[in-house]
Amino acid sequence: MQDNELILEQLRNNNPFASSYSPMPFENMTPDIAQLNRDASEEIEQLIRHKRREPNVPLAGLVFGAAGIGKTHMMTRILRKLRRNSWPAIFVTIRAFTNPKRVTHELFSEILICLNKQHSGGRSQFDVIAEGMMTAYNENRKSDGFNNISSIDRKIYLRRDMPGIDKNFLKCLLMYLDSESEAEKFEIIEWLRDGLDDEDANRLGLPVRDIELMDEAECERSAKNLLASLGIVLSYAHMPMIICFDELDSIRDKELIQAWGDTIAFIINHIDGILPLCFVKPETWETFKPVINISILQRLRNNTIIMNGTCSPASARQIIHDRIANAFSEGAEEKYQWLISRMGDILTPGLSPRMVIELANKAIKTDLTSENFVKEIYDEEFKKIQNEPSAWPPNSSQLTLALEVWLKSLDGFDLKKGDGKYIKFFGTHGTRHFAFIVLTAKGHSTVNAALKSGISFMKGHPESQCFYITEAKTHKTSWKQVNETLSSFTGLGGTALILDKDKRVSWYALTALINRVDNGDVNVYSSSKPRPASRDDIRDFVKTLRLIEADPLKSKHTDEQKFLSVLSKLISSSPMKILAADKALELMSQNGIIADRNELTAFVKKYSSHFKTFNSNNDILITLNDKE
Amino acid sequence: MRNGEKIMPVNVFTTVSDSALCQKCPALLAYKIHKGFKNAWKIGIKGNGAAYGTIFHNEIARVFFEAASNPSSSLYPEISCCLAGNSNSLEALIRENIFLPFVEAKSKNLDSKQITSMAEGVTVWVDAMSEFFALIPSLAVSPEKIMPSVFIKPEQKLQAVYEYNSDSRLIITGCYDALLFNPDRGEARLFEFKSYMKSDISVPLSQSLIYSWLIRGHTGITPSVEIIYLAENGKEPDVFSSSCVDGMIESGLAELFGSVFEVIYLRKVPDFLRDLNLCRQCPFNEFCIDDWRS
Repeated sequence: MQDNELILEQLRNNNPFASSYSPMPFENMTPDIAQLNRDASEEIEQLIRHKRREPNVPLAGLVFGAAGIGKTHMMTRILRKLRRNSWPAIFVTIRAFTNPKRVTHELFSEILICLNKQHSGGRSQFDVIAEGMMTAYNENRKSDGFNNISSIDRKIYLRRDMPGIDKNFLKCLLMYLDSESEAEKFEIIEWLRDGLDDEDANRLGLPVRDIELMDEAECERSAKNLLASLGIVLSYAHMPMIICFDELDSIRDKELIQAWGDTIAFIINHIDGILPLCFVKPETWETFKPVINISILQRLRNNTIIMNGTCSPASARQIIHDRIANAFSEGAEEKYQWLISRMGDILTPGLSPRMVIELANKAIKTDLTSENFVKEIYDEEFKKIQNEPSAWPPNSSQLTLALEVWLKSLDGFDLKKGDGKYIKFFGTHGTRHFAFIVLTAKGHSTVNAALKSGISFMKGHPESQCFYITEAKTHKTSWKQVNETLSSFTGLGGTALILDKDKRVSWYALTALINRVDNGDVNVYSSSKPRPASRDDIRDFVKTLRLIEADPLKSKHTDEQKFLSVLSKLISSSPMKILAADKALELMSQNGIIADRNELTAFVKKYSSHFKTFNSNNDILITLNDKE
Repeated sequence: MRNGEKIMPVNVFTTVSDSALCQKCPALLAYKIHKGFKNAWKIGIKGNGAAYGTIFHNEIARVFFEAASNPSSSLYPEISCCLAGNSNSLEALIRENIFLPFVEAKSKNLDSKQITSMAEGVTVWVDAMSEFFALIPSLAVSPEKIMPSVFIKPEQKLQAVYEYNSDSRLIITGCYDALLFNPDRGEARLFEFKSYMKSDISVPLSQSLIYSWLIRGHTGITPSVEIIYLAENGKEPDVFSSSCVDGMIESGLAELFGSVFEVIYLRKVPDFLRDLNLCRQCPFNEFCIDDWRS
């Protein structure tokens, strides 16, 4: 018999209730209670079967359910069943939308992020689709009577088989299939998802596709075209794709609801092979109804599915029992009995599975206040993003959301929406004026124009500072013209915050936290009864984050000796003591020294007794001058 | 003699690389030989996106081994001094005398990723060399005397004959990367450097085994084998002892050479165990069975 203190310590060290938030259905390994939402899952299965049988039939499902009611577990159950029956089905979940003018683009981008995610065996769903297309193609050619299929031009026959497919979409799929380089595959997906700059697109033999340069209508047209092509391939490969919209509860803006409705209408009416499932709370749906096209409302209403996954006290205890048994191979029963008696009569009928898990967590962590509960969720998202950065590719809307909520949490900071294309926010703090540019554009001309708008702002406002926030992944230090403009920008006191792979995590973790709060997925337990958290509830926590250092100018290199010592150390520890300028800038920014390429070049030239440079065909290489 | 006519012996020529390709997949060798698909060797290979294998061989490894095996080369005294432990490390010697001069001369034609990846590869290579030299204590004591027994001229072309049957022969030619001797232990070691990522060991291993077979035929010594993946900084190289190499030569090469002969001369792809992972990456997946149906 273990004593109570020991049981508590063991549960705290290996807490089966640390996370109540289920990951993607593919990775969901937490125990499931099969009887929860059984009817709903059967109805969804029927819809999928129907879509598979007749991909051209316009179908969609409207699934009503409260937050934490077990959507992910239900979808896991459905996907497992499909796999057991060897039915290939593609599954994607879509996060919250942010830009009403670019909803289809955001949707297509989210689809590609999900499709590109590698699952066990190193394969992604994109691989499955591409291979499925080739299987269908081979079958067709065999029935055409070809013996030597390798000698015929795949592209011509595939276009014949799939009339209406966008030729660049097909080209991307074929290039992806043929490519042996993971880097190239990544670029192909990036071209489809968010475009590439001229140089990278040219290298792949694809036209330039810079989303930031496109006007909104053009961007939406392009996304619709690619989405329709994806639908054509899915039908051809006999693979229905289920799109789960499971953060709809976070959409409040009327324009955004309307834009989402239009996109759903487009999918239902014009795209084969895709089955949208819209998960929403009934009360949220009431706010959607007046805004959405009546025919789509009708279509969704035809397949309304109600999830009623609230737990009876017996199933609540079952959830707790199974989670403990899953986490501990020994002494599980004893721990379960101990925890249940500690929770007393709190497990009343009507709790959602998430609430049951959170209450168990609270019983284990007696010091769990609302504030550190929010921090736990943030840390959980932080780790997820750190482990899987590709699930959060550069996205200026998401960075902007994080920035907005963070700036609003600062005391005495007055924030207004930006008025231009590039400046997202203006701010004032005392007598000082601030402007914030958030950009993840891949085209140098867009970045150049954005920086110039920052320069104009600083010239027009004495005592002002402009922040240019971007990601190291999209900002190329080899852009000559941008580097010149960036020099003028920083010369006027502007700050370039180029987020590297570590720094970006805190920005996207905050976005993920906000999305969960807006979607009603975070509860606070201020009294005995839990209630959904609001943005106000997380303000105190958000304030503690350091998205931008209090005075970022401090991190600019004013101390040449520090610059010299850091650069020398970085080169010294590189293989053969040689480093490309691009990489040097990235590593220096990780060491707290922000410099642009011109500054680095000038510095290395000034200290030619310490450094020697070589020109490669795309960068400068710096080595230590050992003769010194 | 058939119908009084003298049967001419059949000589089929091949290379070590093609034989290793046959080990990977006989159908790929067939596509290369009979359909001109030169990139067959690349199927299934994972690199780090910065191909530099040939440049490494020609501009770095060969320069070092040639200098170390030629007492009249300008670098010979410095190498000797370094091996005796009286000067900079081997890494510094190679960086200053081979790597940086190469970068200075050729950097304009290469991209920075190729150069920095090669810098990583050179470090991996130097580590492997240093470990081997550390096992030859006499080299540190009297390098001038021992060096000629350690280094032999690199990348020498060797040729040997495999009798497929009484009137058919496979003539195999190949040029190994580096062969070093340890006179203190009376051992030889064959080094193979691969600029791609370690995935399927069977291909570089079969290539090394054929080289070892060629070396055994020419010197009477079976070398141990060390396969170094230049793009896998931090991963241990694959090392196979001399007795292990002998065993693998006896058990596997005859069948491989038989397959090579059949693919090249008889245009026949023998039955083989398919590597589904490789097939998935192959453009001829699902067609090869029809294309090479015997």
